[in-house]
Amino acid sequence: MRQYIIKRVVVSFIVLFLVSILLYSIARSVPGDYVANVTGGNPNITPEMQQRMRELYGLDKGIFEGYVSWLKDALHGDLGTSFKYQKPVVEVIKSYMAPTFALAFISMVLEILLAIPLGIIAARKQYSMTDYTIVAIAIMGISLPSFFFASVLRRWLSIGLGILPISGMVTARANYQGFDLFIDYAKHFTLPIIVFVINGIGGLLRYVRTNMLEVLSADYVRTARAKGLPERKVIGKHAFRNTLIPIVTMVGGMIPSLFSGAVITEGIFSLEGLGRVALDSVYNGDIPYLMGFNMFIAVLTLIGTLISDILYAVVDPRVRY
Amino acid sequence: MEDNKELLKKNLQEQDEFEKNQVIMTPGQLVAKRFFRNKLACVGVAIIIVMSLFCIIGPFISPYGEYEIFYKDMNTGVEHRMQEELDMSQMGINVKAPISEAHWLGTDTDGRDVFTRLMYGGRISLTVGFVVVIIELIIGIFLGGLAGYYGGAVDMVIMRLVEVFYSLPFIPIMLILSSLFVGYNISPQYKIYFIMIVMGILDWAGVARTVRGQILSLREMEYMQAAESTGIKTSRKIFKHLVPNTMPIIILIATMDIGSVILYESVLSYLGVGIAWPYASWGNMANTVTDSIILKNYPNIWAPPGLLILLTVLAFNFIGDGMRDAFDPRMKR
Amino acid sequence: MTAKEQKQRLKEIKKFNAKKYKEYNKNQRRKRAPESEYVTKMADNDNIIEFDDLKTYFYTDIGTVKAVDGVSFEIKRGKTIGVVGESGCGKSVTSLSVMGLLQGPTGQVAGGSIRFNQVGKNRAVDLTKLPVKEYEKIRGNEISMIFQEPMTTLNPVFTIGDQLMECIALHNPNMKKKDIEARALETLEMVGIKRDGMLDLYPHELSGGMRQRVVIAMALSCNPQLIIADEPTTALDVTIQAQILDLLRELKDKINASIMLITHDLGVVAEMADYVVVMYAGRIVEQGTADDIFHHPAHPYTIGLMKSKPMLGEHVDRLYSIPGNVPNPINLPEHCYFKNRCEMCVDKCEGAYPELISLSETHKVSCYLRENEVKGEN
Repeated sequence: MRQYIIKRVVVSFIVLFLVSILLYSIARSVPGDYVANVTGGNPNITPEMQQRMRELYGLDKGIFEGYVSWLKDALHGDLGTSFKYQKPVVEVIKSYMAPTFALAFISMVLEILLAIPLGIIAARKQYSMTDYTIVAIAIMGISLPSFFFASVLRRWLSIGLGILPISGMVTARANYQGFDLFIDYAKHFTLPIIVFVINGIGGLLRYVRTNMLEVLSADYVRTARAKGLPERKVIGKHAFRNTLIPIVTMVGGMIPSLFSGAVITEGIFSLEGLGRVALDSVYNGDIPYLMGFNMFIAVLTLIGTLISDILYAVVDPRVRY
Repeated sequence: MEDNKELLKKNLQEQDEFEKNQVIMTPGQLVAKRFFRNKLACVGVAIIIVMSLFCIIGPFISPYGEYEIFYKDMNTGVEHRMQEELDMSQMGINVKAPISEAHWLGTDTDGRDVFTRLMYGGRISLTVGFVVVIIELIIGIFLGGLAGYYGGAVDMVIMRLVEVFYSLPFIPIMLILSSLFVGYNISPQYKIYFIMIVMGILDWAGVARTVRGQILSLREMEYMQAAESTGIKTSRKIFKHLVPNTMPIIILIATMDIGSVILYESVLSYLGVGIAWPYASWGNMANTVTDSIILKNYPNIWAPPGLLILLTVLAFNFIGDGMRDAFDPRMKR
Repeated sequence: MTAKEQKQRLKEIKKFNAKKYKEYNKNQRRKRAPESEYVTKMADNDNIIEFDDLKTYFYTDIGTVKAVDGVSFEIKRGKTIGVVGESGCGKSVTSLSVMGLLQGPTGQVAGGSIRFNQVGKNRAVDLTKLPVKEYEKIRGNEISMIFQEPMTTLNPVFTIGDQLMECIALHNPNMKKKDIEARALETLEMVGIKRDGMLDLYPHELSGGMRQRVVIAMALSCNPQLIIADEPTTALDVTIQAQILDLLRELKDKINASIMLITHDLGVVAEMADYVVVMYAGRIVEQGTADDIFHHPAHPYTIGLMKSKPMLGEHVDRLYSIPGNVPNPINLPEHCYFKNRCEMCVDKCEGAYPELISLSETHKVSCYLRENEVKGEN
């Protein structure tokens, strides 16, 4: 087991290394007068900062040397200074991370909790009305453009009925405290989470359904029935444990799409999270932040896949370490 | 004894005759039958046909052009077209016109006909979908095929690359790249091509992984070992025996991906980093929804493009789902 | 057949199937039913199971496949019966019908009954009418099954012990954990693979032969009255096959259960079975004691099967093979199904499907050729 984990960690580092090369070469291809062009009218951008960016990406050095110096800084936790916030990127990420993580984590948990039982039900009743309905809803969720769906919800629930706040994280000037503050947060996060879950659940649900169908036709499920086990146990124990194997591997891979989704949802609902900041950075030409953000997600993804791989070895006894 | 032989022959023939009269289906027919039994898949096919007609033939029928702006006489309220000789001092642009006979879905914030722009937008959205999928298939099949066929170090390198692309979050990466487009002052006309190429490059990893998996498992099959033992050429092995057998899954991925590419393109355009003005795409048409006045008062401007995206992506997904069930003999009943 | 006709026919089939599926789904929802619906009487209390005109059909897209079409035979207590036939002749479907494991709603028991003698409870039940809850008490307990593919019949993510003890615990709810484990070890000893730490192994850590022994141990664990072995040795290599057959024969005497052995291998039947049933295209063509079938085969099909078996010490240039192929199982003709491949057929064969006639007390055949040989009053 230990050897297996070490092997996976090493592979993750190799991948991370390759990702960093890729990201560096993108940053490197930013044209020399970029900062001046994009931020021409912005008095906050001083020539000094432009110089810093040049230094950060080693634009004044050769490609190889530039990469090495950038990597050295990155390893020391220095991903440069955000133009917009005038602070180190790492600090910007730290201060805006909470809403994004709350949104992504709650949505992911909800997705998993809903997708697994629904997928199993659909598979068990293949070709029935229930199956068709569940699959149709799942596909509908995948196919909904999130911004469109969010707009419809806002038009209907916020503007039309006035039940939920239209955007932001807290009601301005209300100064709620304690539990009231929590409720206020909850209200503001309801719509973003609905959009997130509906959009994300389809992929997982379909995956669970297909895998369950496969497992249900397996010989060992027939054996379990032949033993006289009640259907509830056949599904809940024998089939479920086997569908868990592919599901576990999928969950780690969900992270990049969660952050892609965060950019859109946070943008629409004006939630002050990493995604929203990233969107602003595009308009402000804040390359250091965008780079740092991508690097951060890449690291998270690799950690996620690593956990998936380890969990995979835990749920499937056939994995050779 | 001779007699008996004759009789047996006759009998065997009779059986053959009899079986010819039975309903027998080729594998292709069975796949088609399973596919069309899936009602959602049929709906999907219908939507795609209607949508293609709308986007390809529609613009020829529509009296208006893609960028045509409508003017309104400020005194009389009569609408005028761009081509007419107009006294500009009396004219205002006919923006956000309500639904009318002349403009089935009204006009947008720049005074252009929404219905006509939907057709042109659809052309772009569908084209982006197809082109991106073709690019990702070319890269994915080639690299996935190499990895699956040669294995070893080649496989190792390609699979690490796949993992690299898997850990790149699509939208955030596109945000950086769009900064680059801005940095190089790329004109909207060329930006479309760049976006298609970049999306194709970012998307190939999934195809490669599936093709590799397929080829690995096919190589283990007995018929492949049988083919190998006859000593045929490598190229023939790959293109005659391996590739055709991965076709169903490739068609399936392609169908599903066209849908998701259209969706992603619309998101990019919505975020303002995709297809840029003056070109129409469903995504940048729906972008108007960021304006809260439009969101509240002009659903005829933002809702139709959103609905068309939804319908098209839905259709591709329904078709893909139907195909998956149809190709998979396990699902037979 | 023209395309239009074919379309028309497919449409009819679809409609017909939809009706059948609906009926099936309606019946399946019932978990419990009053005893009067399924308790019956055995024709002979010495039998453990009686098949009476069993019909199991598959309603497929291209027509109804009559996989089992009016099969009647019985198994005596403590005896072994061999069911032989080519693949697709309905022998496996017969066994799945007993276990209630047909893939519904496509596969359904369309008629007839399977009477099972619950010796312990002193009653008999009709398995085809049994509600789900009652079935669960019988499966794995009074009737157990050994499957063909030892590689896939065990669940890969649970240990051997887990899977063995699950079955014991299920049917003996009052047993303590320690006793269950002891019983599991006992069954493993019976199949000859008791060893330290065996219960903690996963299926993938065992060889095919070992796995099949585990499957057999599982089948034995609740002292069943009837064991159905569906091609138990087909997937194993020859030396292991012999070991497993030896094991089964040994166990047969030890546990006093009836065995229904399903196979296409006449050699296996010859070694194991007291009685033999020969099936062809969903029907029984001949049945009798092992001696009847092997030494006095009466049906041309059985004779063909015997001839196509290689014999040690006998020299032949070419092994005999039955001409033609198994007929398409959909819309079989009215006449004898074997007629078109039969080398001995007579004019009468064009007529209705021949009745099963008794050649002796134990020996029955369904063939016009043997009509004159019938013993007794005829």
